[in-house]
Amino acid sequence: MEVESSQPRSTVFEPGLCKPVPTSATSTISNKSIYSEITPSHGKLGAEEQVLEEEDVAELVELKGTKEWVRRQHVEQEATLLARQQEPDNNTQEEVNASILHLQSLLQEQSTKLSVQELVLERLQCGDVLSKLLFDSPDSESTEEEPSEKDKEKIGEMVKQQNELVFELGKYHKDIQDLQENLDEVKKQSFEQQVRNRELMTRLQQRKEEQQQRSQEDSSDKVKMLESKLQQAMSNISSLQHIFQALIFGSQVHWAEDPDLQDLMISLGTPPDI
Amino acid sequence: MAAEEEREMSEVLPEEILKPFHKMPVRNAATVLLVGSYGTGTQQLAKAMVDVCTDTGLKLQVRTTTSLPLPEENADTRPRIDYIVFIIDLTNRLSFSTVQSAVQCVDVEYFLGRACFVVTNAKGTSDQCVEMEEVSRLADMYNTMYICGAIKEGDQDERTTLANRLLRLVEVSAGRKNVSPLLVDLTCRQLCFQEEQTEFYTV
Repeated sequence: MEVESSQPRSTVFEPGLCKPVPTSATSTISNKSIYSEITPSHGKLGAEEQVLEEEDVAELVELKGTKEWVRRQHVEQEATLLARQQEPDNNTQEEVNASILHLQSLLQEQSTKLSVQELVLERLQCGDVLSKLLFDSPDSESTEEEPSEKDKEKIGEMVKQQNELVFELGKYHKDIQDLQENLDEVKKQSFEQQVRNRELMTRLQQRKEEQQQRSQEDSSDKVKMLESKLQQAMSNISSLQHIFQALIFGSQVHWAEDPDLQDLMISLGTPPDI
Repeated sequence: MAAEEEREMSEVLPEEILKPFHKMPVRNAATVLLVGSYGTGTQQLAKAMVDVCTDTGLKLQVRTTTSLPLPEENADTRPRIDYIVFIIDLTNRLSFSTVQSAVQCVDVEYFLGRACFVVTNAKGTSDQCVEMEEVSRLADMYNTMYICGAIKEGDQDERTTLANRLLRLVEVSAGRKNVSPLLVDLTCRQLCFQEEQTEFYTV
């Protein structure tokens, strides 16, 4: 069995952010802005006092980290102890699963909140450093190097560009919002139109049906009337045919010898067919 | 198989079983135990983990062994083992049987987020003598995750990736992160998906 180990480099560890922060000019400025409430005086400090202050801060951070670590170990040990004391019960398995799901969702919420807070903090720190670089007057007691005019110009240009982009973005947002409102309005109108169309269609349908019904009724009455008239006319024609036949018989004319009279008698004998 | 396992279990004495809470933890320090037979690449993985760890500020100690239980000679001086990595080479049957016997010498507490299986040579199937199903069955039996990776000489990037991944898990076990290893282990499992699956099958 072999053993291997590693030697760590010295870094300042910020337990809140859970990542090592390399010591540099910008981060010391940002650390001052975070830890200003811990320092005893807010006025200008000498170089020695500044070094002491940084050492105090590092020590405090280390102590805080140790406290957090001890707390986590304590929580783990307690959880293990509690788990060993409890007897496993099959009925509570579903409850345990449900509580785990609930806790998982809570954890996700909290972790996203933390990430957002970290992002905001980083942004604030960057903004603070940027504003100090751009607007702060040079301090004779400060040990930092002043940024050159070129760098200041560059940063100024970048800020201008950012402003323009943000302004354009704002304009596009507004345009999109207006278009969205118009779209909503048009959708609403088309919906109302559809509703009206549907009402009209139903009314039209009803009227058509009524009309069809009425026309059916009328046609049946008409037909009956016409049929009766036709019956009457046919009976009239047949009675006239009989009368004419009787007249020819009664006149004692030899109708069989005359072909025309013969045809006439035969036609008067056939019933009318319409 | 169950009877054989019971017989093997009875051979392991209670004091030989590796436990996570029988020693005090050390701040900013972590100890990893790599369990793997000869030829599985434990030395290379240990070196890769140590190389990766130099930037994190953690005092990492990597111990390697070919079998469990650990010898009693160093029991007093040995620090608390924060994480155990069982290495299985799919082309080496002995590595799988070594791990199978080693897991029985480890306390169940380690399988709640303080241990994992590393499976190597999972890509080429031609010279594999251990089935992936056997490995997944073993992992399911111990409710522990397994990671597929490469440790051999030609796979520098993959080795570094694997070392990074294991280091993240070791940091959680050592208490360097704001979460406990049990929580990380639970969040790896999708309880919601299991519930939806049962609904699907009942329909």
